[in-house]
Amino acid sequence: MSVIAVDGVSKRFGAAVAVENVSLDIGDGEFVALLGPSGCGKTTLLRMIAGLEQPDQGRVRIGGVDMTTAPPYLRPVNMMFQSYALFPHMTVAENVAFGLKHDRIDADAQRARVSEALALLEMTAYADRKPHQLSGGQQQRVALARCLAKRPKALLLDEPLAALDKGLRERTQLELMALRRRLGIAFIVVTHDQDEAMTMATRVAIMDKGRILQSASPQDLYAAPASRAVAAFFGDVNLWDGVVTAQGVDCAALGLTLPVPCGLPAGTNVAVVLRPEQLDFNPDDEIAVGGHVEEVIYRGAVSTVLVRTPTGGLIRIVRPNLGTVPPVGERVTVGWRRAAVLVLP
Amino acid sequence: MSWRRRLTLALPYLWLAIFFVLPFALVAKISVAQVQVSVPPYTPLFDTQGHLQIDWANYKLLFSDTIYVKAYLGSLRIAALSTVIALLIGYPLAYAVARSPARWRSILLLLLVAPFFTSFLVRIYAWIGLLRPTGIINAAFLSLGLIDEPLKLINTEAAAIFGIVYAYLPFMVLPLYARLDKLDVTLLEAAADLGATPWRAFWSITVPWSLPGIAAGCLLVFIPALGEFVIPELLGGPDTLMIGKIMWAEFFSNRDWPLSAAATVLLLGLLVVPIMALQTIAARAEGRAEARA
Repeated sequence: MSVIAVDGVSKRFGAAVAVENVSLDIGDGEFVALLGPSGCGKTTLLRMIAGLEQPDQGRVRIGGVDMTTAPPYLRPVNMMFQSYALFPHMTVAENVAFGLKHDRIDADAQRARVSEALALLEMTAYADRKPHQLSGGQQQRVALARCLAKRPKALLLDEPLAALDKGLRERTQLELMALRRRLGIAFIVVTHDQDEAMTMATRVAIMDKGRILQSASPQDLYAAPASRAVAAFFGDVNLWDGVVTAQGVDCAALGLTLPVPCGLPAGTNVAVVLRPEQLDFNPDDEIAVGGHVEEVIYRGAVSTVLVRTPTGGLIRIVRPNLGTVPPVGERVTVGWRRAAVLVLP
Repeated sequence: MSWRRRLTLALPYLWLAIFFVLPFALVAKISVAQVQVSVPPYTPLFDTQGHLQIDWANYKLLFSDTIYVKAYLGSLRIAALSTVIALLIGYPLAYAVARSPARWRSILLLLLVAPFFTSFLVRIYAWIGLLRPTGIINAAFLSLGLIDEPLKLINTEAAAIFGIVYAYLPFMVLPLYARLDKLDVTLLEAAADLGATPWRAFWSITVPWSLPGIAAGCLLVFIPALGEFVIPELLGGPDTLMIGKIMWAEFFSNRDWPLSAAATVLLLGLLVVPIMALQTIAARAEGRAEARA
């Protein structure tokens, strides 16, 4: 059974539509990422689940109970705010205990839950510190402990890694994943960073202009995007305009007709999608195009090579740095398999 | 430290020395003198033989004559009541302004200080016109048939307290507003998310956060209220006993400068205690809350 069921929810702020007719079911133990550019409505959706915003339309059910209009303090979910929102006048332990004071738990059980939560996040040694005496990473751990002490049905995280530097961000990603596996509750994270979503989430819901474009596992989103927008937003991509013909798909940027069947009537405008790692400098492949290397972007383990075709198109190719990356200016032939081509309406 | 820096640091101390320490030393000197018919109307600190003349009789009188003790207690009571009432009215007011849409805030603050554009005395006299037995309020109530004879609205202690609250309310609201304006709303959302009802979130988050503002507002109302002379004189009537009125009477009517000076020194002593207490509270709360930012 889904722990959170969002059903046809819409929210407007004045004339601006923040969320439009969004439905999303989140199962127990899922790690869902709401991914999209800023202003796409992902945070508003999260806040409606937390009860900090009221939807104009639609229902929000938590644990099978309709909680559309329930105030935040009655909802069995907890949110970690982007700013962490630690109470400045309370110690770490008081912050973690705050949420328990409002549950009907006796003092001993409260203390036990506080030390348990602090131990889980390795913050026991800091119990008597004030938030301002902690580093950003430590503050985040306290914020997490404060949520988890409440034993929520789902943990909501608003841009949890935005304020951390790169090294700490990667470590925290792994910790969040481990934490979710250990606790078995649903995690819903809002992020604008596709790498973050891809790394952590078991399912990614891509949002744009208040709608969910596609909600699937990162693997499926990458391999089978449902639309041009999803393909463009999720992962590195070659995306060209194409027109369906009797022989396949005519691609002006490449100057050739790709012999791929797509089942659409001739004359239909489509998007041709090719993932850069599917391409190689192999003239004997099923499809091949000539051109010259315009730019090589070195990225350590791999390089991104930009090849300009005679018809003016630009092809992105990602190759491992194993001595086979051509230099700028060299004439090359780029080849790929027919199956690598995705044709999207 | 360069001489420029020294000068910058010295200026406020110099100001305090000239306009506070020196006059206070003069007042303290007069407070240990005795009345005599001369110019100025008190005995000098050194007599003709050069002997120091210090007489504590004025202070003894302040403590032995019940009228002075009562006046001090009256001042403390009226000032304390006024401060509490100003806080009870000022807090919701400051909260409302701080929570209002940004474009309204400056207008609301302007309205709050608008009374200062007219003279303080004129506004107090206006209240006499409103409150007196033949005043506008009584006339309105009489004509509406709500009352049969004029209410005694003026020349009461309540009227004095009302006047003080009216006059000093902005001094309560402004520091409270300054503090509440800086409250991160996310903290209240977090409290709600963690299970606190709005009422509990208010008491456990908003009130502790605003303690420095409460302390500052209370000081700004309590201190001038304690020594207030004009408002109790004009609205409080003869029965409202406050030390400010006594000092005025001793100084101008009795020409007893030394006794009035002694009352002043004692009042300052009374003020220093609550100021230091509240300063400590404010400093502690502020240190706790603001070191974070």
